Amino acid sequence: MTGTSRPTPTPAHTPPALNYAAIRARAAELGMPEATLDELTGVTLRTLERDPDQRGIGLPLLTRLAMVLDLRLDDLVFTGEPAQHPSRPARAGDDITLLALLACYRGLATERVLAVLGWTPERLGAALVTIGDHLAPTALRVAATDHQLTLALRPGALPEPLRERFDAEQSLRHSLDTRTAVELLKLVRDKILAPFPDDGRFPGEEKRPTRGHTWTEEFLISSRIAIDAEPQGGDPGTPVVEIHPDVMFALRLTGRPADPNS
Amino acid sequence: MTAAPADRQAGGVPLLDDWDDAPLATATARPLPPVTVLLDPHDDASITAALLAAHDPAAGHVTVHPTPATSSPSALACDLLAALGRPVARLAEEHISGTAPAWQAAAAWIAGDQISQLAVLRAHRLALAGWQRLLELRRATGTRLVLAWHDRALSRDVTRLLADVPHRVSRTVADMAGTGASMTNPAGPSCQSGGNEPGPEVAAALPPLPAADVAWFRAEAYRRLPAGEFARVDAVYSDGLNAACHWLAGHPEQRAAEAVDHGHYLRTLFPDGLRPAEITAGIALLEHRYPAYALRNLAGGLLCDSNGKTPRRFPMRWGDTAALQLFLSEMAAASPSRRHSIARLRGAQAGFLLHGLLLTLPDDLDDADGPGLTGLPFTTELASCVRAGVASPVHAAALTAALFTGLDPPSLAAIPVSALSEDGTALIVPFLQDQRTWPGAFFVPKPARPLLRAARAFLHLRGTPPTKPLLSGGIGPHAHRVTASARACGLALPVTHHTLAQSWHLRADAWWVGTALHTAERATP
Repeated sequence: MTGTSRPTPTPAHTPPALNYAAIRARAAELGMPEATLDELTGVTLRTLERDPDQRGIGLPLLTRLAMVLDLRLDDLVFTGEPAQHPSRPARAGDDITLLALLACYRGLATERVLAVLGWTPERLGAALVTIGDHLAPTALRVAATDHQLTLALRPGALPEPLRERFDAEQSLRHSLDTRTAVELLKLVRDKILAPFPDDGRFPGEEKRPTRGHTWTEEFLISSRIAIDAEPQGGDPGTPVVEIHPDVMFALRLTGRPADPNS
Repeated sequence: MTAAPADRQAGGVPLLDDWDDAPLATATARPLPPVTVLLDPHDDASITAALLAAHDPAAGHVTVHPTPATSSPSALACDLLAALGRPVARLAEEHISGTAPAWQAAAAWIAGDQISQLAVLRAHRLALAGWQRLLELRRATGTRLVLAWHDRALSRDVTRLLADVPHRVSRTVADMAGTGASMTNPAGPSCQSGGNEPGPEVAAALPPLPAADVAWFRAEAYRRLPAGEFARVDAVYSDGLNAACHWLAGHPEQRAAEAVDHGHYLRTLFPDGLRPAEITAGIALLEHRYPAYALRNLAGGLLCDSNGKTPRRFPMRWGDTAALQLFLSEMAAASPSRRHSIARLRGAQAGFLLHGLLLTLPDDLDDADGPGLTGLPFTTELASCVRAGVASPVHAAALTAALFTGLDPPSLAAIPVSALSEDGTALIVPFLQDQRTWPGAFFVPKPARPLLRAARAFLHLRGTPPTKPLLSGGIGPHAHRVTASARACGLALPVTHHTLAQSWHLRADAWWVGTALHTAERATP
C-alpha cells in the first residue's frame, strides 16, 4: 500500500504497512494486552510486522482491527509517506494529469492508469510523491494501493460532528421510497386509531403483526419516520414504534412537531 | 407555408419561417356570421366615434381605422395588426412584413385572441383587394366583420364581391357596437385575469426554506423559522395541500379507489329498494357526519360484514401520469417564486399522503429546473408585455413558452404543433428517456393560451402539418430570435440549459401506498 499523505509524521519509507505504533497505542489506551488483541484478530502483530511486503494484510483483517480497537481504517494504515527525495523526480505535468484523472473518475484502478498512460510504476510513484507534496496543506490526499488510486479526504480534515450534521441534513432531502411510505401510512393510521380500544380491528380480525415483523424499527427510527414507543400490552420485549411527531405535523394531524431537545 | 429549406438545421434549431406568399387557409369550422355593411351616407362623425369607442380587444371587439391615403392590402394588414396592439415596426425583423404573412399573422391573432367582432372604418376607401383580404380573414377566423361605408351607396365592384357572401346592410350602429349576445366573447376577454395569480395571503416573499422531503419539511420550517416567517411558509404549504386534496377528490382514479375501499360495505347499510342516487346521498351524509373509522366499525360491528381491510396491494403505481404532470406544473406555474413553488409542492405531497398516495419529487428539487422553478409565473401583465413587443404569433409563442416552461431553446424548438391541446391548456410533448418515448405534459397558464393558439392558427393558415415544429421559427439559430423577442419586450429569458427530460415535474411520480386517511369530499383534514 502506498499513500501520499498521512495525519502524523512517519519514517521516510515507501512500503505500505499497518500503523503498528498507533495500533499498540490504542490497545494500551483500551487496556488491552497485545495477546488479547492477537486473539481477537486471529493474527499476531509481531508476525505481521516481520513481513516486509505486508502481504498478510487485507480488508478482512483491517476491518477486524477497526472493530476491536474502534478505530477508523484510515487510522490503522500507516500511509507510508514516501521518501522526501524520490530517486527520480516526477516528469513535468504528470502530477497534474494524474490528479485530474483521479478527480474526474473518482478514483481509478492502478493497473488501468499504468496501462492507459503507458507509465512505469516508478513514474507513477514519482507523480504520487509530487501530488502528495501539493496536497499536504489541503484537506485532500491520494490514497494509493497496489490496486486502486483514490482521491480522498485527509483523516481528520472533516470533523465528525460536522459530517454528521451534513449527513443528517442530506438525508432529509431524499424522497421517501414507496415501502417506507407504506409503513408510514400504517403508523399514521395506528396513531389516529390509538384512542380506540379495539385498535381499529373488527370482530374476528386477526391481530396485526408488530412493525418488527414487516419492517425494521431501526430503519424507521433512523429515517425519522418513527420513534420508540413505550411497550404496551404486558409484553415488554415486543418492539413497538409509533409515527414520528414530525410526520404527523407534516400532515397537519398535530399542532406541533417533535421537540428537538427531548 | 414553406418549411424554409425544409427543416434545415442551424445552431441546433430547425428553421421554419421566411414565409412565402401562400393564401389564407380556413382556420375555423364554425358557422360564419354574415358580413355587416354599415351604411353611413353622410359620413356621420358620431358613427365613427361609436365604432372607435367599441374598440376593446380584451372584450373581443376591434375597430380598425385604416391609414388615410393608403389603400394597399399590406397597409391594411399593418393597420389591423396595430389595432390588435402588435408592434408593426417589428414586422420585417420577424419575417412577416410581406402581404400574405402580415394578413396571416393578423388572422392568427384574431383567432388566438378570439376576437368576435372586427369593425373597419373608411371601407369605402379600401381597394377591392383589401375587401377580398378582409373576407378571407373572416372566413379563416369566423370573426364578425363590420365594414363602415361612409358614402351614399356601395360601389358596383363591392356589390359584385358581396353577391356570394351572406351580408346585410345596416344604417345604425346600435346593434353592433358591443351590444347583443353575438358581441360577447364566449371565451372571455383575452386579457382577463388568468386565475393563475396567487391570492395575497400566499404571495408574500418567503424566507429560505429547509431542504427536506415531505415528512420533515414542515417540522424543519417550524423549528428553523421565526413564527411570522413560518406562518407565511405554512400558508403556501397549506395552499398546496388543499390544492392536492381538491384535485385528487375530483380525479376518477381516486374515486375508484375510494369505491373499492369504502363503498362496498357502506352500501350494505341501505335497503335494496333504494335508488342508487339515494344510496349515494345516504353514504355522503354518513361520510359527512362520521369519520371513516366509525363507519367501518358500524359496518363491521353491526352487520358483521367486511373488516375494512383493503383488497388493494401496496405500493401500486398511480396510473394517470399525464394528469399528474399537468396538475404539478399548473400548481408550480402559478407560484410567484421558486420558494413558493417548493413550499406548495411539499404541501401537495402531504395532501397526496392523506389520500394514500406518495408523491415523489426529485431529490434535487431545490436546484431543479422547470415550470415554477426556472419558469416565470406567466401573468396577464407578462402576456401584455409579449403582445406589445412581438408581432409574429410564432415569435410571441416561442417567447411565451420559454418563459413559462423554463425549457432550453433546443427543447422548445422541437415541440410539434400537435403538442398543443385543442383548447390550448396543455402542451403534451414526447421526450426520450431510457430509450423509450414518454409523454411530458406542461400546463399552459391561461394568459399564455391565446399566444400559443395564435401560433398554431398562423401555422395552420400557412399549411404547416401538425407534425412540424410549433415554435422553432421564433427560437432561431442559437436562440437569437427568442432572445431578440425578449429584448424587444424588456424581458429576460430564464437562464437554463436543462432539457425536457430534466424538467422536475416530468421526474415526479406517484404511488398508492395505502388507503386514504380522509375522504375526498373533505378537502382539508
